Amino acid sequence: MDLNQQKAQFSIAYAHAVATVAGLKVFRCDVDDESVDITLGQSGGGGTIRSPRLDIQLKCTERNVLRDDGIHFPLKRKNYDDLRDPQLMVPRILVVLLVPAKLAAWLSEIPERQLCMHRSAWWMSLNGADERPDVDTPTVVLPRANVFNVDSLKEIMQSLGDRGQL
Amino acid sequence: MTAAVAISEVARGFKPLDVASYLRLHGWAQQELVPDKYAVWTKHDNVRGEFEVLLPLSSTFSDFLRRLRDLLDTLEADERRPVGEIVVDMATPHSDIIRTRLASETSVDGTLSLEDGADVFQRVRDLVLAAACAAITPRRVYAKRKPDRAMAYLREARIGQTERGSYVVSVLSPVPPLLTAGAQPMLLPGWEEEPFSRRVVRTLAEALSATSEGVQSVAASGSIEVFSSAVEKGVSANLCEAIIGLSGEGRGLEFSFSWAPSRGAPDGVREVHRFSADSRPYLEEVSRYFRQTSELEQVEVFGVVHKLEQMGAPNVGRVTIVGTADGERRSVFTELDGELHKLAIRSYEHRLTIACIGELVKEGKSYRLKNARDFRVVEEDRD
Repeated sequence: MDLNQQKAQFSIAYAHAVATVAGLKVFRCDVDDESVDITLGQSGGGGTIRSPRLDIQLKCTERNVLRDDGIHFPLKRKNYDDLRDPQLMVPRILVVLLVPAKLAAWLSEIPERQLCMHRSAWWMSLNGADERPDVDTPTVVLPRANVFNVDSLKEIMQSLGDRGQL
Repeated sequence: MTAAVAISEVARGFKPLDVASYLRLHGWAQQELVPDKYAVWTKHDNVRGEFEVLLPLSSTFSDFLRRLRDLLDTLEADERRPVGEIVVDMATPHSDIIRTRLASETSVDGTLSLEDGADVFQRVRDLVLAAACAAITPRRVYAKRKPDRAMAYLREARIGQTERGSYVVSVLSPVPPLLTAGAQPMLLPGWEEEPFSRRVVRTLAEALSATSEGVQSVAASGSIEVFSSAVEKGVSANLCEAIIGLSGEGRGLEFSFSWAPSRGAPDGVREVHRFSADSRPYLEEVSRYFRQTSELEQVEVFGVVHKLEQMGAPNVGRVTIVGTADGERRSVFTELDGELHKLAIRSYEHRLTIACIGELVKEGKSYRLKNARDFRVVEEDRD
């Protein structure tokens, strides 16, 4: 497994851990060309998916992209356009996970006490964002307050359940 | 059909109304409609919990394919059958579908020998034809000459593409949608509540049910009597012989039914019927029993009068015709009088081939033709 695959797998594991503790199920889909890695939802009969549902595009970086106002993350044009698409049935968010530069530091362990994932993830919705046709890789800023954790995920799902906007 | 192929099948010319009627037929209920976007459908299962699908109302959403995949994944989990079958049913909302599945060990790689394959299609035709005849009048045996309505039905019904998963032959039987006026089905003078094509498919399902239960009962009790009452449900020698033919050299069979969503399922009909390879000897015996204990109606007889026996009054006699009856080489006797008796004498003296129709019944070792009628001379003697 190369580093990119490790980053992809680690970000899925991270989101999976947060979703599980938030009481949600993770669904993966092999239609993967539209900037979605996983779908979260309530667990339905026979292990199926129920509303509210949320599609997530996961990104993982070891670069220092954390500024005072948040995560400054450059997106590929296709990902950017897919994420800001207003013609979606199920809402979609971007989650960026920051990891330490050294692979060995991604997980830390205190034997028999804890296994920690490092370091933290942020989220944002790009629904309806400007096109920005003059840039190839638009940089988006995930607000520093938007930490992707159990509480924020529960709030997101609550708001979707009430048919609110993200 | 793989899942990816199935998705593109449904996606192509996406018809949300067809999918909605499919869901309704399969026990789903619409809970919410978000106009121009999607509808939320749910289905409750006491054991497995609540299922939910989002039905896109248009294919213009950017995440349409993904949502379609969610939907099909959920249906597959709910129905526990291949997504390929679900998609075929969805795409044919106005047809009942009869599937004949041959047990996998004989269809290596999902293929059959050419010889076997041709026979399978013929037997499926015989099976459906037996049900069409039973839908008109239930009988123990049907003669080779079948009612026009049954033959016309065979031209209406379609053979679907064969489906993967063992070897599956599907027959699509078009049926008009059930429309209601208010809460009541339409009740008009002369209105046939159940269209003939639906009656055929329902009869087949009931007949297969009665056959598989009958075989169980015969195996347990040793008495074939149960099959006498099964005739009213559409069981016939012809149906049993079609099943025997499909089971070939001893393979198991499964028949399943999908009802047209636009008409809904008939009440109290099982959807899957299985026959294990060891059903065969029982079915053979049932078929023999039916053939020996019944008269064949509307049998065509061709042949030459071989023997004339005077029966008291002049111009009345017992006539033996040697030739074919119902397509089999047989000698058949009948009683004739008047002009028909004279025709019999001509046939006897000049070796004329004559044809007629009647009801054929076995009497001891001979066959009697009752109510012989529609006589004609087929071939004048060339001498």
